Amino acid sequence: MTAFNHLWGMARESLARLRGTFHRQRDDRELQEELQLHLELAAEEARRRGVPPDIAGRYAMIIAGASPVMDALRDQRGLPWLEDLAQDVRFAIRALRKQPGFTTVAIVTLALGIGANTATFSVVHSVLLQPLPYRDSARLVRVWETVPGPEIGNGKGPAFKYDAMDVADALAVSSRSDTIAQLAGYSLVRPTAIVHGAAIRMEGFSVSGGFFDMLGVQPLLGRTFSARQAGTGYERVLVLGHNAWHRLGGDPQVLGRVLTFSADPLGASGGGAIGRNVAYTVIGVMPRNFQFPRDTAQFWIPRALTALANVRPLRLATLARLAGDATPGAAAAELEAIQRHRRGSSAAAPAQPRFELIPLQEEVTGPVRPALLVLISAVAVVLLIACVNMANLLLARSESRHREMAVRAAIGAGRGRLVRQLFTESLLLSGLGGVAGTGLAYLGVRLFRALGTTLGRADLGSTAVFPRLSEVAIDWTVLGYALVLSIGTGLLFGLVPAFRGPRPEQRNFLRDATTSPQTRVKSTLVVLETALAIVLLVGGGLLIHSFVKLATVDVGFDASHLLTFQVTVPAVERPDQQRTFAETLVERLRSLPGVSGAAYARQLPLVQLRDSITLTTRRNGVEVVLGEAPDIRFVSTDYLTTLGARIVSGRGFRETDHEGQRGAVIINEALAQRDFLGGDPIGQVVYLGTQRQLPFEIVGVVGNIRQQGLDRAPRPQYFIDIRQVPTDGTFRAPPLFPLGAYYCVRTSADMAVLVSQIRTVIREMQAQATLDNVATMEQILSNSITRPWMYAVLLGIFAAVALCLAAIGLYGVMAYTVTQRTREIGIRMALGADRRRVVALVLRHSAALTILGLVIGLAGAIFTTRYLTGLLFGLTPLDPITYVVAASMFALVAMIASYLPARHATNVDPMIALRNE
Amino acid sequence: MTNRDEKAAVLQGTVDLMVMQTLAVLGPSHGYAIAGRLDQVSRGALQLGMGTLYPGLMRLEQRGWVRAKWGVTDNNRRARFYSLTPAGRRALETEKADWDRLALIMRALLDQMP
Repeated sequence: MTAFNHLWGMARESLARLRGTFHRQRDDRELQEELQLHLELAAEEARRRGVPPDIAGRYAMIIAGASPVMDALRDQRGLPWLEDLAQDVRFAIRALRKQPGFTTVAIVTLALGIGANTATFSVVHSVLLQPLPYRDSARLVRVWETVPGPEIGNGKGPAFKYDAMDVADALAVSSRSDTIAQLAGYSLVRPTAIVHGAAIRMEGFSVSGGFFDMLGVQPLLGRTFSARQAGTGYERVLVLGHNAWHRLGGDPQVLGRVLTFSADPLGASGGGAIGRNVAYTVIGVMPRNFQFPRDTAQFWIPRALTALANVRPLRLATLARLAGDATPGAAAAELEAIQRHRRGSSAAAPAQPRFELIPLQEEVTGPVRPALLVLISAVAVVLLIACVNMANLLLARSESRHREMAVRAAIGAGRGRLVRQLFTESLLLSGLGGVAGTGLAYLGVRLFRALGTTLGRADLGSTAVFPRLSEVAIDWTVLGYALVLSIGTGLLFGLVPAFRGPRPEQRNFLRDATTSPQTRVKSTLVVLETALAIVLLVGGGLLIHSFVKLATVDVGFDASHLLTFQVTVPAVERPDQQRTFAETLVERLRSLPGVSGAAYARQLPLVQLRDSITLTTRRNGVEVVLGEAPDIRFVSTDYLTTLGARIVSGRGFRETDHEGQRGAVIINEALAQRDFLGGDPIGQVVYLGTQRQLPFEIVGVVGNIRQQGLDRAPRPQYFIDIRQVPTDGTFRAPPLFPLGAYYCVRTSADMAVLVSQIRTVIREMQAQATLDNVATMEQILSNSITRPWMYAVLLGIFAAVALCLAAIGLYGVMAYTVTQRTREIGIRMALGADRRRVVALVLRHSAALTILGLVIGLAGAIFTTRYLTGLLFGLTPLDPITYVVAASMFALVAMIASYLPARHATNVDPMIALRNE
Repeated sequence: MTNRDEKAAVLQGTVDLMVMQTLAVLGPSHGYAIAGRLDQVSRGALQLGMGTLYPGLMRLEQRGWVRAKWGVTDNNRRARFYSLTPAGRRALETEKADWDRLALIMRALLDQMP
């Protein structure tokens, strides 16, 4: 109780003093009055005792408010350190407001540095550092399997790497494995839903039962399905994704509603029934951030692995959760053992499939990790340059404040207090810069997300998509980072002027100001920031140059004025019906105004669907399998013409190359060069795989088309007129349009108008037909290089900021030296030096600094740009053009930055300059 | 000068106790009266400087152990009168007990035979 009383008293004292710091309950006058009374009473008593009073001096001091007693009372009244701080801050604000130019430059410099860093960190934090939003996500792995290539003819085929697992293996693993706790398979389904009479193409995933249990994410509404429910097979229930739920109206009463598909998304092979209008009941809605396996997923439906295993060998993308403390390596080894055991093959067999288990987070974010590390390093360099600039600015400023500091020291401010004052100013600046920078960071994050926005199409693959883009945001951690950055930079650049007190310099006649110690420090800093800026300039230049090369690479066709889209017709199911529909549609499209060509195909360039079938030919009476299986493309008659591909020799497809005619095949240059180097391929006969009943004659050679990506060298490839594929079952081929048929239309008309016309045409043909994935070919191409575009823009911005900061730094130092040399310049001019020589005098100095910085910077670039290797296309990190351009650009900016002060120097009036002393 | 400083330093920790005890005995009093009483009781050994007395009073006030009111002295002078609060009385009891215990311990320690 008593101890509490004591503590309570202490607490009240602290509170009262804190209050007293800001609100004086007792002002100085009141304190003085009390002390005066004390002294008066003491004086009276002294008089009474006959002692001469010696308190007059003390009395005067108290009236002046300057006595030690008053000081002690003032200290007790408030918290002295806090009062000092408040005073320092007030003083700093006053000092900064007196020099708005300096303050603006300083805050902008810091805001750029801190803002760029905070924004970049928020990306790194959200993408690389934050765990994926699933329960214990570090234990989740994806299963990859490498299957050795088959023995083919004259050699061994290449190994094939699947990011999917054989369903039978998956079943064996889930029942037997010790290292894998849970396992789930999933695959894309793209059914057509009938909503309010209109057909909508949707994208979802059929997932095996353990899927939701394994990810451990609670639904926003309703429930998900569990292993038991999916295990029984064919329950038609559906969990909606957040976006799809919104698109369907966002009704909170959605549970129990029915979503009708035109056909069972699982199809016959998935164990689903064949039939029309299959109804799925909505049982749950997932939260917004649940986007597995990708953000385009609109729904999830159960699919029993057991139902699949009986149908035919099938691979499913597989996600697994490692058990206990099992490592991915151990689990992979166990998977291999289980598979060997199941297939009854011996461990010694040479051609065993190999499993590889990759942590999910690594698979998702691995592709962008190197680029993000480059960006965060680059942006740290920007901040370093900003700090160097600030140190330089403050240094110049501290000299102009020499007199002020001397006065403050003379009236009793200790050195410690002065240093603290300087630090307060630095921290105030960096704090303001930090606040402005945080604002910039918000803009930066918006820019980043805008740059990373893609067409959002699953069929164009994931290589264009920046993973976890929607999760990139500024949260408390990022704000904390900005705060630490602000304080850190404030302390860093505050160090230089604070501990480098103003020193008296020797006054020396005609002394060269470029060699004074102050100038030397500044020059060193300028050389340093020049070098750093050059490194960034070269790095940014390399990425931009690389991007330009990528964007202008010869794709092998004419992408302009080319509209692409897909049409899905639920009622048309048989391959021959689908083909007839496509032929009719293309025919009608050709008659639209402005359309000069229309075609359809199984896939378009950059659509991530690759088919390859080996070609067999007969040479000197011997059957020869042509190397590694080339890619095969099933296209309509006019496809190559519409695309604007170049026929290098022979002919294109003709109307007469239809079913029942002798097969016609067109090969690309890569295939011609690989397999027909010896002679003319035209007229040679080849077979697809082992199907001897259908010979194809090579009728033409077409120029290489970039199919897989602008950065991928074209692979050997051949084209078949889709009408020549027998649909009567005699020819073994995969489904005709596994992703739906793709169309392309070449037009000189306005795209938007054309799209609405196409929509009308399709409606007329089939009420339930849907038009989707509408995009110009140019959009598809630029979509595919979204990531290089992001990197080039971001590093380009960083380099531009670095360049500006370095220019400001150089300008500052040159302006400073010109001021320092006013007298010298005045004398030179008085002795007859003309303007040109004075300008040359200044420029020579800046050129020396710039060249030194350039040399160091270029050397640094040669050393550091190797980390960009993986991000560059068509050039090496030592690309000479980029280096030359970056160096000249910097030299030009440096010239401008130093010419301005140089010109100023020539305006010096010799008389004034000499009188100045 | 140094002598007085040393004395002040020794007494610093007990200023609170002395002031509060004085207030308990005298009732509401102004600073000079407190200092005078201490001088008198100690027969001139305790001359509390203003720099010790007044910040000490302010500290006690901030802790809520004494409260102060402006009033008028016998000689019709405006003065600030300090008095103990209930919390101050409790604190005084504690401090006194602590002091007694410390004094006993010191006595016992110093009385040891060499």
